[in-house]
Amino acid sequence: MSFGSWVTGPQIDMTVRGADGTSTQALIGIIDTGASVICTDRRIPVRLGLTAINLKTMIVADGSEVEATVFAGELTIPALDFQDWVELHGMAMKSETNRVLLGRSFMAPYHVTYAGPEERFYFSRSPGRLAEAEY
Amino acid sequence: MNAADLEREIRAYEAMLPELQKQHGAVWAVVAQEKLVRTFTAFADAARFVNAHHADGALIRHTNQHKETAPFVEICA
Repeated sequence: MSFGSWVTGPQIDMTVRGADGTSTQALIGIIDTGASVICTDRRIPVRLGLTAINLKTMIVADGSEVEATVFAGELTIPALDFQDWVELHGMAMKSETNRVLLGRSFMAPYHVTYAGPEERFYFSRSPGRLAEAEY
Repeated sequence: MNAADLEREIRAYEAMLPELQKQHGAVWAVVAQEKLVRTFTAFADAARFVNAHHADGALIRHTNQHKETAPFVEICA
């Protein structure tokens, strides 16, 4: 595999750092092209003491609109060699979960290809590298 | 920052948005105490700035913000 290319998913181990700068919570990321942003159970960023930095309207599967509280969080995904601050859209989910939807805002820097038979996602920083590394 | 504080900052942001778009275009704006603090090209830079300089929190909103989509089927009202 060449530099800047990764194979993973659809579930990815990830962590979010707490407001104290040292504690982290392990989460399961699910790559989801149907989500436009990163979506999480609101209880997770609240428990980590993360800062709420925005309110946004979300359109959910049935077309109805709900309000999300947006938090700034430092996300780490070792499988993608990723560590940076991201918007976490905290939503009032019915059941508490540690599963986080990694939507298109997360994928924006990458060229992403889904290999159906393998059930794997191929991430690359450039389409040339993706072709060179995986096909 | 609680919801009431965020709503106050959002009202201030919306009042300044036309001028903000005219002056800065598509950027991440940081608003605190109902004033524009700074703009950033990347969200991560804005988040790092707020984390380092605004312990009481601040609004971070993109000037082209729109409604987002999430394929949930079970959420609380």
